[in-house]
Amino acid sequence: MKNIKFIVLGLVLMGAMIVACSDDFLEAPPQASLDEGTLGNQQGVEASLISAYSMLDGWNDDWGTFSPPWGGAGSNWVWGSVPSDEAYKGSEPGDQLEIQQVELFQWAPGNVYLNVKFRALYEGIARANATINLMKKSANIQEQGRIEGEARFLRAHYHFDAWKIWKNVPYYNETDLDFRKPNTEDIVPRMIEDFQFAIDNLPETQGAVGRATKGAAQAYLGKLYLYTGDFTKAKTQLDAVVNSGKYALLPCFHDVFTQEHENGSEMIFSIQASVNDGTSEGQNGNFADRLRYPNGGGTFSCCGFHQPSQNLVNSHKVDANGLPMISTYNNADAAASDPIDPRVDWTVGRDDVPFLTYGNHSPAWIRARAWAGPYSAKKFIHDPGENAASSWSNQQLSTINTPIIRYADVLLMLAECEVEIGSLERARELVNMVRARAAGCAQGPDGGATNLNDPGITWATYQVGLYNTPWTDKDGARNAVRFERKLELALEGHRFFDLRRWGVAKDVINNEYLAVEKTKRTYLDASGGFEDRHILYPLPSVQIELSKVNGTPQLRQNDGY
Amino acid sequence: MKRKHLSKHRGMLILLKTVGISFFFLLLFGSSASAQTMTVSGKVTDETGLPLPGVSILVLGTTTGTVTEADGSYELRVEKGVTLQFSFTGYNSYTVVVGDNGKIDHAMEPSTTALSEVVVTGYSTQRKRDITGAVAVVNAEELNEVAATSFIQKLEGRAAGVTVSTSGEPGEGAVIRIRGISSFQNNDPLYVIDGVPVEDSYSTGFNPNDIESIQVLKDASSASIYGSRANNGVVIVTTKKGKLGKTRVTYDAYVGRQNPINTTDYLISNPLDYSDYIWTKYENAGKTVDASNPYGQGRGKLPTYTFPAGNTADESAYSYPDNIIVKGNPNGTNWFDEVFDPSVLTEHNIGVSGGTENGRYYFSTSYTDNKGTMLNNYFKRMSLRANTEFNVGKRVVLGENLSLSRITSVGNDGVSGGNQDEQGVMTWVTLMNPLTPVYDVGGNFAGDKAPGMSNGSNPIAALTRAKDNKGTFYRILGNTYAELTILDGLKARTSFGVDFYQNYTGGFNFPNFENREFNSSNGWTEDWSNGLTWTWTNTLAFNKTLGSAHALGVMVGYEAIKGNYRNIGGSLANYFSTNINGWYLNTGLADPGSRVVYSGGFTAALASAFAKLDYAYNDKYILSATIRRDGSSNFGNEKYGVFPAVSVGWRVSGESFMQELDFISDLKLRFGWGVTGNQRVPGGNAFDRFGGGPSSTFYDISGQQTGVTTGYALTNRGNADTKWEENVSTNAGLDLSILDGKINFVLDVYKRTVDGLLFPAALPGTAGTAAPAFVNIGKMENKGFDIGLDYKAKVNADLSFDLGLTFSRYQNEIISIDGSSDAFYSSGFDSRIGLVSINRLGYSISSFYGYTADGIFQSEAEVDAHATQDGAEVGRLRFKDIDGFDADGVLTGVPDGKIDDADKGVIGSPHPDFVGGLNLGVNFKNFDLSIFLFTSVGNQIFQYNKLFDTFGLFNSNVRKSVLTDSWSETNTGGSIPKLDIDDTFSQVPSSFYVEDASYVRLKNISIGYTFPKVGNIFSSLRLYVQAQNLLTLTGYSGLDPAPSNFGVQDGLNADQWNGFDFGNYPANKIWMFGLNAAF
Repeated sequence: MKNIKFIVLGLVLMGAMIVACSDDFLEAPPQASLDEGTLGNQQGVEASLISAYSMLDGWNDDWGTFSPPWGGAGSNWVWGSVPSDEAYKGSEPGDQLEIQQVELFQWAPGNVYLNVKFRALYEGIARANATINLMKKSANIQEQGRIEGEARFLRAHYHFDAWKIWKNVPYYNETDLDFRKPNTEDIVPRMIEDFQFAIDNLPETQGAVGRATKGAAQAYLGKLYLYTGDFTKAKTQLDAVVNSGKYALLPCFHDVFTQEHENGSEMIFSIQASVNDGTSEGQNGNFADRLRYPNGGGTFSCCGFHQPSQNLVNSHKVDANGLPMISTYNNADAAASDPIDPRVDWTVGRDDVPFLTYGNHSPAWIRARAWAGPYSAKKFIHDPGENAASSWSNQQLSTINTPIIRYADVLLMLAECEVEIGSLERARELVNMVRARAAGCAQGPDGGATNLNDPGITWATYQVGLYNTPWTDKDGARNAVRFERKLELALEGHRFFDLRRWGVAKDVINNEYLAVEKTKRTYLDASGGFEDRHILYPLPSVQIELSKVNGTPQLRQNDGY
Repeated sequence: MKRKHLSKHRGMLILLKTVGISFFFLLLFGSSASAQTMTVSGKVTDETGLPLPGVSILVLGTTTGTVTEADGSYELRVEKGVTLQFSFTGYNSYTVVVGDNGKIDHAMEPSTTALSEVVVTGYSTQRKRDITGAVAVVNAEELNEVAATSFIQKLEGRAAGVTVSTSGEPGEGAVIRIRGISSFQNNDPLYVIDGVPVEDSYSTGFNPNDIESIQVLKDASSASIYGSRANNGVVIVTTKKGKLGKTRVTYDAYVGRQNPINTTDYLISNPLDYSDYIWTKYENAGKTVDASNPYGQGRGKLPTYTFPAGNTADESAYSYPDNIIVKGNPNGTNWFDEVFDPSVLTEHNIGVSGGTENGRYYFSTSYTDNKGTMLNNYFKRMSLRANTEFNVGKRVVLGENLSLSRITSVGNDGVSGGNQDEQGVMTWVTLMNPLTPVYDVGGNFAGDKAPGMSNGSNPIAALTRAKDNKGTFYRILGNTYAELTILDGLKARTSFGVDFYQNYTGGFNFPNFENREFNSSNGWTEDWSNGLTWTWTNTLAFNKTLGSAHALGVMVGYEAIKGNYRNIGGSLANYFSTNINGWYLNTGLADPGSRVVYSGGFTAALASAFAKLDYAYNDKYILSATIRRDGSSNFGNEKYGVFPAVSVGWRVSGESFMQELDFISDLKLRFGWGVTGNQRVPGGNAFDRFGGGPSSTFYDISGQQTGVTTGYALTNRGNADTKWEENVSTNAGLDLSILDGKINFVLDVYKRTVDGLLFPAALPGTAGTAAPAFVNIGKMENKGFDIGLDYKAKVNADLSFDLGLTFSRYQNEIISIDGSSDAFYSSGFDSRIGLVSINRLGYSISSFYGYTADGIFQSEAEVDAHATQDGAEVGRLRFKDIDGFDADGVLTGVPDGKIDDADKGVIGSPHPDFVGGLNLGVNFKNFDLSIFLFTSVGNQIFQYNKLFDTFGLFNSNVRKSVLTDSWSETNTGGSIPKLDIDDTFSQVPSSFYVEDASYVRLKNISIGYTFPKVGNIFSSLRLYVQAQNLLTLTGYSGLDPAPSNFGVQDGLNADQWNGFDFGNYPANKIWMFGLNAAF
């Protein structure tokens, strides 16, 4: 029995030794993750850069951070489209109340969707900066110019989006470690620097279609100058894109939004979507845009947001010459007998019109017709034959890319510059390029594209005319260019920002749009309309709170909120 | 093949050998033979002369002894001249020297105070009367009064300062909170099961019948010996041990019927009423219900078919899923009734215990089957326990405690998002239209498929399809120990404990074509995880009484804990067959492109040294001090923390000036101060971690469309300087026992301040979204008091009763968040109406956030006179103008004539003003009656469900009261805003959602009858009937005023969502019949 005592004492002593060498005992390296050292090589730097691209869609499968994700969408459908004259929030009353508040100009800093967008953009910036830092820290990294060029292009893109929404935002480059910087700096010169670096260092063509190119940087810099009102400098960049010969309009408008042609000659820079790629729920398939699918129709089952407005449909009406009815389009709602621009049926789902190859759009596809009208968003909906994924509802995640800048956009931006500079004829030529392409195809009876005169088309009379009369009146030319933008780029997240930078937002939204539209959609009665403060969105109150240093917020709220 | 056979055979041999050896040891220790002895026998009774079974009789200085039989008799062989000690809980122990007379009868005297009980506190035992900290003791008898699957549920109302929340879901892990809330993260206490600390809530895997006693260490002076993990209190569970005497077999069983609460008619169930509702809602907005809507034919007109909506359909053309035809149910479908049905719950427990001088054993096996009231829900548990202890010589005791359990369950979780989730059955019950039948014309499930119907899922379909989405959970918990008496009063003890669990869940997602938001694809997901934690504890304890006045106890110890966890899982979609036999992740069975796999893990270690000093002078002045030094692998540079505690007690009743107050049998004042810690940070917190995955950091850079290129990013920020969180707690207490222990009163007043609160405080968005590191940054305070009062009275030999009251109150306040922010919003739930829960300085955690609703606009003039408010109209909610912003967006404190974010604030709190429990027990002859009432006063609920059941979001069904209590020109007193499809403005977060949810609930009432002796079969038999949750008095309009914490399943942020009702599985009414038999 004595032995047992020794065993007990022995155990006690062994225990003492474990505690004695507890420094080793207490080592618990992190599991299932990488450290920065492992990534400090060519492969790691490239992978870091990929992650910076991955934020383009505004969603990284993190419901904790991006709840709900819709506000973060890279397409900007919430911020750039819903409050403008082209679309409603859609769905039914009360669903996604925050988006409805955006639509009705009940903008509050506490709207969590603002915070989601802010965080998505700055995560993109953080990843771009991390890539540059990792590259500089690591030895023997090849193609440093290209890598830094792409990273800085992305950094400038994310900042541009933030600047477009809030204007007063802080700029972060790879050396900034103070996350509580004030938002007082004019960040335009910083974006110009980054885009210029990208132009100087990026190749004209990249091996992977999703990468930023020299042309993309030029187009973006042109766009930035355009937003600042510097038409001459904008023209220089946009001309370079056009003259590079690298880009061309696709023959059919709809092709831009098909899997087959989305990376064709018209795409300058876009968000690459993918599905069935190792994700369980199509998280890379335009996840933050998924609400805009029709609410019925046999294939789709949710959610019916981003419904096009009556105003947008009416805008597609054309006169006897096939030209837009710029000042009279909204006098009467488009009737089936009215000649109409065929782009309407690539952009808007209308009853009794084939909805790609899904069959005819019908009232059952709409969630609350009495509330937000009869139309569905159609532009980005994939065809049944194209890759798609489901998660909680059917087939609502597709691989249709979201353009950031496409060639038609470049042509129309250049046209704007030409108008302001005074080259009206060049502007007319550019607009006609876009219009000629619009005449290239129409929604056909079997669901695919056909020519405008296909006798199978029974639901509409399609017509697109060119501006054949020389433009002599600057105002008229300006209006024509702007109207063309409305049609060509409808539902692509530009409209609200365009109206704002043209300085016509208040007039167009309140007088042209709401005054008429609220007689058709009575819930718009509650809209406060565009007031002066709506020139900028409010900074998210959560971020103002988090920017406090010694109790003083470093981020200053935009005026009027 | 041959090798395999051989090795299998070998395994059997080893098994047989092991069993054989065990038997050998049992025989060895079980046999007792002493040459020169005599037989002592007798009968032990209580003070009234009734036989007292179970009294333990011990030969002092040895472990020899026995216990009395049911008739109070005993027999024991001892050496002449030894001293026998008779002891029994609640009675004074009695010692007698064995002389020549072999017959010793004794009538036990009730102890003047129950405080003479010995209870387990930190790593040692203590007389209850010597306790100087705040410790609640709950014994098995009290626990057995309520039959429940989890011992935590049984604790409710038994210990002041302990709150328990749970739902009606079978086997749902109950949540226990001790003295408020001390963290934004995990607030679960530490469980110490037979000396083995278990951090994860062990409530459902544990057979509650095995519990001998529970001690809840509430304050730091008592809990600090568990320093590292004691911040949220410590629950010490001691399981049953064998007692000396012959083998006792017990059988405890019950069978019960659970009834869903009787609120089945709160929603509209008549489709004509719904038609009225929807038409009024449209017409008030100047619209008509669209023709595509099933109700679109006009007010009061129901279609024959809801899908496709209309009066005609060619039923012969029905095909699933391409041509679904759904016939309306003009009588109305009551979805609550369809989902809920009475169910059966049953439990069987067999215990075998006994012992000799050299060995004691307790074995038990139990089976619990709790079928939920919700369709296809169940919880089944099987458990085995073996506790044995052997004396090896006079100085060594060896023993082990071991439990094995297996749980299988199908719950609300297996269906969807789980309880308290919009994508859950409770919300679907509200959403589903009364006109929709359960089945379509083809016998398949029907749903709200037509436009204008809800986006809910048919809950019957979901529950039916999920019936095989089973979770299986295994757990092995136990320890082996050895105790060596080195010298008299000096004991060494070593214990090696193991906590092993394995968890498996699998779920198949079926297509659900019947829903409006349907999904046509199928998919299978499975997850497997296991964890192993071992704990090695070594202590050396010295207890000595020096002279007659000085009682000294010293204990030193150290403990090493190491754990690891591993999980693996995956999913695959588009199976060729949905047959259950094909629910595997093999790509040959489904679309290989859809496969997702993942795995994860962590390791953690703790090394600790601790010491305890107990000193009492003259039994009047008591001092207890503990100190613990912990090292944790969870931290980087600051691995070690030191946690001291000290408490003192003064037995005032022992002073001479108190002697005249002879009605006071005991009066003790206590004061304690101590520091506890918290090390709950995720593994790897000290390090920056990079990673990502296809969904988060990969990107289709080359335009493949069905493939992505690998990308990595910073996913978690690390902080090597993060250290222990400290909870400084002070407690002052008073124990009073009067009239010979008939009345006992305990009062504790406390303050707990958590400093350096571990918390992943949000970084500015400009830092990116990598998860912030846990840092020591917040500060939270809880103040409160607990009162316990019990009164025992014996009227005569036939009638006695006891009355117990607990009463407690805490106030939780956030003192600091990150030093800069004034507030942050609760995370983890994506509300449809924006921010609803805030954690703000000066307020308690999880305060409700929104506008202050100030009635309904009665007239245009009132609208005009009011501050500018979005969507303001007659009949809509009016919000209070409280504050305004200046040009920089800073609050001015002055109303600005504008209803905006500045006017939002804290509009309520889920924390009760106080909670109380009342236990009443009556014994009359052989009958016993016990009643337990629980009350919570002042707790509020944010009834998020109003979004659906009152505002009708997504064309959901609504409460019947919406028909009668909505504001209109003719019902201006209505409390619900005017029915108006355009009124989305009244839905914003406001105090309209907040309701007082004070309640009194008759938690338990039971009546039992004990047969003293039934032939030769039973030595005792008690039969009882019990009813639970029979009655609830509340003004709360929701289903249950005591909802379970939202997000409990997710663990971490549960307390940031206290008091939210997102659709809670309400508690059931239970009737049961049971028996307790001993053989």
